[in-house]
Formats: sequence, C-alpha cells, structure tokens
Amino acid sequence: MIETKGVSKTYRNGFTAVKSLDLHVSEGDIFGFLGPNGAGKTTTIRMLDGLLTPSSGTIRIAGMDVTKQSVEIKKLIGVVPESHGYYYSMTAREYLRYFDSLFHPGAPENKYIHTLLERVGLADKRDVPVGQFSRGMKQRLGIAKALINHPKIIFLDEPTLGLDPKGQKEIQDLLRDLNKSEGVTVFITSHMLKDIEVLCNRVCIIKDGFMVEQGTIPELQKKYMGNYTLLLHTDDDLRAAEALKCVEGVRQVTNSGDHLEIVCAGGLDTAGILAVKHHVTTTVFSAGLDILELSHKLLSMEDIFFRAIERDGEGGVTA
Amino acid sequence: MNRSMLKKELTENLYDSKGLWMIVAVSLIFTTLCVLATTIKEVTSYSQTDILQYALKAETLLTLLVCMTLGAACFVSERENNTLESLLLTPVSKLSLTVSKYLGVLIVGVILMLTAAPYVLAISAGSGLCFKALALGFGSVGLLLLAFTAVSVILSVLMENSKVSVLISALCLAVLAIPSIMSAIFQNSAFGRLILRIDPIVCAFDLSKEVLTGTATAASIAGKLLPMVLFAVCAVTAMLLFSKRVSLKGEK
Amino acid sequence: MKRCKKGLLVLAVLVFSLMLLPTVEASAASAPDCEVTLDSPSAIEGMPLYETDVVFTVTNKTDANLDHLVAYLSFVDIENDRIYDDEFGSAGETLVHLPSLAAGENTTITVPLQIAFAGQFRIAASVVNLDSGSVAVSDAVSVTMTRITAMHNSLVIAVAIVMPVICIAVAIYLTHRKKMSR
Repeated sequence: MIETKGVSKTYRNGFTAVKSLDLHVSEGDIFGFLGPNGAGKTTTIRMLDGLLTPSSGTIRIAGMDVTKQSVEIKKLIGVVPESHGYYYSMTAREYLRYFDSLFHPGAPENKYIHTLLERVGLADKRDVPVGQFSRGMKQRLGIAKALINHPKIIFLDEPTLGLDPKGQKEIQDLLRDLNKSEGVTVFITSHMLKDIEVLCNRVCIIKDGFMVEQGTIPELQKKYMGNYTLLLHTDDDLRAAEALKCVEGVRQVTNSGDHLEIVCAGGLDTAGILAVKHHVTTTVFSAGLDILELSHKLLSMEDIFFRAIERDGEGGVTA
Repeated sequence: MNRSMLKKELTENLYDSKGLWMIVAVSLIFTTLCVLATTIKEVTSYSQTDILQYALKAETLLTLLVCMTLGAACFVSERENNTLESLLLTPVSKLSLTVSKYLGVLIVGVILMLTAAPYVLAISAGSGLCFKALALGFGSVGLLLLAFTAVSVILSVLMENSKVSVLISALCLAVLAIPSIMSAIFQNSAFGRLILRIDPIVCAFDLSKEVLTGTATAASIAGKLLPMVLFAVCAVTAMLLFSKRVSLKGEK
Repeated sequence: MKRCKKGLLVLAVLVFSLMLLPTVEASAASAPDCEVTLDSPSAIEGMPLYETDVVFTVTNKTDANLDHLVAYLSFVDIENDRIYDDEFGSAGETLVHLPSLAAGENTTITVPLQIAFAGQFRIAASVVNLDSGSVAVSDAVSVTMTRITAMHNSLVIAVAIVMPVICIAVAIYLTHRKKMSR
C-alpha cells in the first residue's frame, strides 16, 4: 500500500531530515513509525501525504507516485496532523460538512457526517462550536475529518499526544475498529510506545533520518530478545530456584522478587524450548512445589526501541 | 472553484475577521465626513464637484485599506492557526484556494462600494453627475480593488507573520497614495511627472476630477485608465502565479 | 529797481511754466505703439474648475525696435463688480516679459488659465511699454462659468444618519442569526 525507495529530504538550509528511507506498508497494516524527537517522523509523514516533495527517491501509495498523482492520492488518504488547527467558529457538523464539500464539491449534505460524529462519540456535540471542545474532542473531530472521504489509508501524527488515559484508549479502540471493520491501513507515529505496542502489527524505528529497524513486533522481540526466558512463580520460589539451577537447557535463574526469570541456553529451536519447559515443570513438581504461573518473557516496545536506538548509534538501514 | 470554499471565506471575512464591523466603521466615517461637509462653514463654500471628488477619494482609500487588511491576513492566519495543512491535504488545488480567498475579499470590497453608493448619490444629487459619480465609484475604485487585493494576497502567501503582512500591505497602499497627496512636489521634476502619469491611484483621482468637471476627453480617459488596467492585470496575474508558493509555516 | 525785480519774477514764472510743459505733455496719454489681438479662445463657456489657454499676438506698429514690453491679463467679474488678480491660476497673475520686437514684428504668447469661479467675466490681454508708458489692450473675450448646483444638505444629512443605522442593524441581525442558527 505504501512503498518508499531511497527517499531523502534535505531542506533549503542544508539540513537533511530524512536519509534514504525504504518503507513497506501492506494493506490492512497498522504501522507504527517511531523515533526520538527530530528523527524525521513528521517530515516523512508530510512526504507520504504529498505536502513535501522528497529531495530524492520515490514514494508510491496504492501504486501511484505521490509527486505525480497527488490529487488522486489525496482522495485515498486521510491525515490527522500533529499540529492540527481547527476553525473554532464552526460547529463540528459545519466543520465536517465543509471538508466534505472539498472532497465532494456540489454534493448535498452527506449523511455519513452524522455517522462519523456518532462513531467518534461527538454526536451530542455536533452543534457546539469547535472552540469549546476539549483536546480529546478536537482530536476525535480530527479523526472524523480524516475519515470524511472514506480513505484507504489514514496517517496519524501523534494522535494521542496530550490526551488522558481514557482519551488515549478511545482513540486506540477507534483505530482498531477502523482497521478491523473497514480494512483501513493505519500509519501512526507516536512517542507513546504503549500505544504502538497495543495497536500496531508492524513498526519502523528511525533515528537521525535513518531507518534503524523495520518489522513485525514479534520479529523484533525475537531479534532483540536474546535467549528465550521463562517466567515462573511457584509457592516457594527460593526452593524452586535452587532446584532449577541444574536443569538441562537452563543457563541462569534469577529471582526478581515476585517471580523467577529462567534464561534458557542460546540457539534453542521450538523443540528445544519445549523440552526445557518440560524439564522445568517436571523439576518443580518433583520438588513438591506448585506452579502458580508460567509464561515466557516478551520484550516491550520500549525495550525494543531503546535497544534498537542504542545498537546502531550512527543509524543505518536494517532489513 | 469551490462554492463552499468561497462561502467559508466570505463568512470568515465578515464574522471572524470583523469585516462586518469594518463596513459599519466605514459607514460611520462617511457619515462624519458628510456632517462636516454640511456644517463647517469653510467646507460649505466648496463646490459640489469638489465635495464629490473628496467623497470618491475617501471611498477609494477606505475600501482599499479594509480589503488589503483582509487580504493580507488570508493565508497567514491559516498558517498561524495550523489550518492550512488540512486544506492542502484535500484535492483542492492551491490555485483554487487562492482564487477563493481573493474573491472572498473582493466581495467585501463590493459591499463597501455599495455602502458608499448612497452617500455618493446624495452628494451628487441635483448636479447631473450621479451616473458619472457611480461609474467612477464602481469602475475606477473596482479596478484598484482588483489590483490591491491581489497584491495583499500575494503578500499573505509570502509572509509568515500576519502583522508583517498587514503592515507591508498598508505601506504599499501608502507609497502609491503619497504622489496623489503631494502632486505639487512631484510636478517639479521629470521623474515626478512620470510617477504621476503611471501611479494608478493618481490616475484614478485625476480621472474622477476630469470626468466630474467635464474636461475629460476620450484620450485623457484612456490615458488615465491604462495604468490602472495594467496594474490590475499584472497584480492578478502575479497572484495566480504566486499561488504555487502556498506552503506551510517553516517549510522553507 | 522794484520794476526790475517784478520783471524778473514774471520771467522766472514764465520759464518755470515752460519747463513744466514737456512734463505735462509727457503726462498726457501717448498712442499705443503695439497692437494686441486675442487669438483664442473666442469665448469660454463651462463649469469650474475650467482650464484653458489664452493665446494673444503682440505686433510692433512702430518703425523702431520695441524693448521692455510686458504683457498681462486683466479679469473683470461682471456679476460682482470687481476685478480679479489672483483667482485665475498662478500663470494668470504673472507678467510675461516679451522679447525685443523689431518694427512690424509680432510675437504670440500663451497663458494657461484655471477658472475656479462661476459667473460672467471678461478677460483682456494688455501690453505695457515700460519705456514709453504706452498701453495696448486687446478686445475682451467673454467667459461664462455655469454655476455648479449646490449640494442638497438635508438629503446628505438624511443619508448620513440612515446609512450607519442600517449598517449597524444589519450587522447585529446577521451576527445574531449566525449564533441562533446553531
């Protein structure tokens, strides 16, 4: 759905914000685009939605070149920019009606506007001036505006910035619902790594304009995980830890207070991991202990992010 | 050009930018001038033609001032309020956007000319100059309106700060209006006389004087209209070309 | 002795009288030594402010050169029984110093005028020989400046009062309607 090849952007003052970016986003993906401040996220999104012309490289959205077919592409995409301004004197309905008229000039009032307002939870505020909206309401209105033209792709730049947890969850639920029910591809940039972890199936991490990492979250977890780690909680973790030290395939057992972290030997395949799990459970039961909880450790998005950023200090493209 | 965009621009100019109250203010200024013209002894000795000329000059300058202020803020305010990005993300072209904003300001200018019309008619009543005065009020003021509004929209596209944009627009108007006020000084040099022949505001004022005093000939009318028409054509053409440079804040 | 003194006194008076004679003669008006003809316009009709050029020709009627000739325009306001010297434009009040005219030679002078007043006037061109003191005057041209109608003050005041009231009412109505439409 979104394909970039060698895309770079250098501004007139000589500053290069994005360097040789290769992105691939499939249809139906919820794609997370991460990076520290000044990494080039907003510049990238502006190039993807046609507001900025790349200095080099190509960007194709739904098979169309962004620089040559920008008008057609704008009909296919919806954008919720980071610094989104509103016409504060307009009501929510007037605001959506106005943008609907820009996409469908001359058409009568679209009933879809009412559906959208209900969908984003602003049905009861449709005749309230936008100037009286809270930040969360404005953000939801921005999403409604981005959906007015039934887009195939929606770009969101920091959509949950400044929202309270309830507001963040509402946005997350809305985006997930859009993706599931209508198959909308979602391209989201955010500092809220929790949002990305919860929402996205694929992520890309950039730093200083370079792409550092790209892939699905499980792929990246596996890549940055290192050795497979089990989390175990028994009715006597101290005794369990002693017993497990000599188990075949276990490299290290650490007691973190409320559970044990059992680091397995490196290079284990699925069968090997299953075997280690079997040995661990057998050993615990043999010691006369009960297993209260057994799971495997997953890296959080935060862990992946910081490991990826630190791993490639100067930035570089990683397949 | 999108009708909704034009309606939105007009609504914004009238309500948000207080264009409606600017029209009221202009009406009050005309009222004050009329009261002065009819009550102050020294002014009452002026001929009707003189007062009519002053009325047309006031109409010209006030209309241009209001419209240049509105035009100078049209793109800059969108940029400052972060609403321009949303507009540029729609299939609407930059040219269409520029034309909508331009027409939105022009319509306010036409409303101002219509507001001035009753005053001009009242002042010219009985002199047989009503038609000529109205023709001047809409014709030459209209030409200047087309030109100066385009100049202010260009400045709005190029500037990143609304105060700077409005200030430079006002300066442009002042620079072109000064020769009409200090024509006696400009007459003393060849360069000054050249300025007086090509300055569109001077030409507009001279045209109204000639038409109202009955000294206009076809050649003199053509000579006065030509700079105004050329200025309008160049300004509007430049505005249409500069529409490609509509961009977000800080993009440069 | 007394008779001699009386005689001398009478002689002195006679001589003195004879000496005055040329002065008196000189005081009497001398015939114009040049002719002034007003070429254009033949008549002026219009409304103030009216601009036109007055063109006149000065011809030397004598057999000798005439130097130090000065030309000027005179204006007479018939309706107001007065003359004007400064209300017909700056050129109208300025003296024109003519070049030296040879015998029989003529010269044409153009004076731009701006007539700012309504009424009935006569304009004539005059030439004075500063050496001999003779004055030549052209025929006068008739000037009729139609009085511009006066402003209808009551109508202007009425419009001046009504218009802002209408504008304010419309502004309030539209603003209120916009708020109520929500």
